Amino acid sequence: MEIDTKEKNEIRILSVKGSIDADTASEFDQSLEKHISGGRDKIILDLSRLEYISSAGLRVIMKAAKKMEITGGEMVIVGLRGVVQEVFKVSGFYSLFNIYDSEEEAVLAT
Amino acid sequence: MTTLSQVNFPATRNHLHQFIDSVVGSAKEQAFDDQKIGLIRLAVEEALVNIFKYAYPDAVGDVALRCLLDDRERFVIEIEDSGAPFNVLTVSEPILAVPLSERKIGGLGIHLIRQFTDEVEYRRDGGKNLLRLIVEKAA
Repeated sequence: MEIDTKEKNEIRILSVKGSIDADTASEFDQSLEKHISGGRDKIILDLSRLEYISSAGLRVIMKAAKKMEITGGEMVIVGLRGVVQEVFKVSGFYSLFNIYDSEEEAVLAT
Repeated sequence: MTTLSQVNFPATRNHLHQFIDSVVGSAKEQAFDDQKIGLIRLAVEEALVNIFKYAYPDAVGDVALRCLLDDRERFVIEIEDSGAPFNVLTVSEPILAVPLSERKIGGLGIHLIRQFTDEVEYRRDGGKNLLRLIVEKAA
């Protein structure tokens, strides 16, 4: 699993590549924590290069989103496809997050 | 019934990938497409992670994982451990349709197992938990 970071219009964009499973979830957690506690209140989670996510990864995303909601921040999701999209759907995550097809759309909306 | 693969490892997270590699290898041989293989991988990971967390609270034990084709040509993953009795079928579904602040952080694993397999069977026998995840092949 790799996480690339960039910034656009004061929005932190985290692009996750590979798989988030029970093994890599804590690394993902640490990275998200770092960006949130660093005062980031707008985060785009770009999952277009993510091939797989299990409940361990969903747990990390939910934890981060709850934290941001409390501080008035926002985390949006970009690029769901394949297995990851299916997992988000059956877990009810489509109603928890604003989900966009592209980074451009997400940047405009956030 | 045809046994496709069988592995046995300690019930610890650092062995997760070895279990998964075995299942994915057998699923590939059965010509499941990539999407289906990903969902099978997920169901197996969720089942294993529960066992890693709860089966052996006081010591490390083993998990046996077997892939087979049953008499109806269904792809079956059998997961057996000698740990504390735990029937995954008795865990209730998480409540999904609530706002973010009310969503519980855990509880999704078992939901995903049910969603991505066609049948789940559990049996407690001779001090072992035996979990069977059944996936129908496409018509």
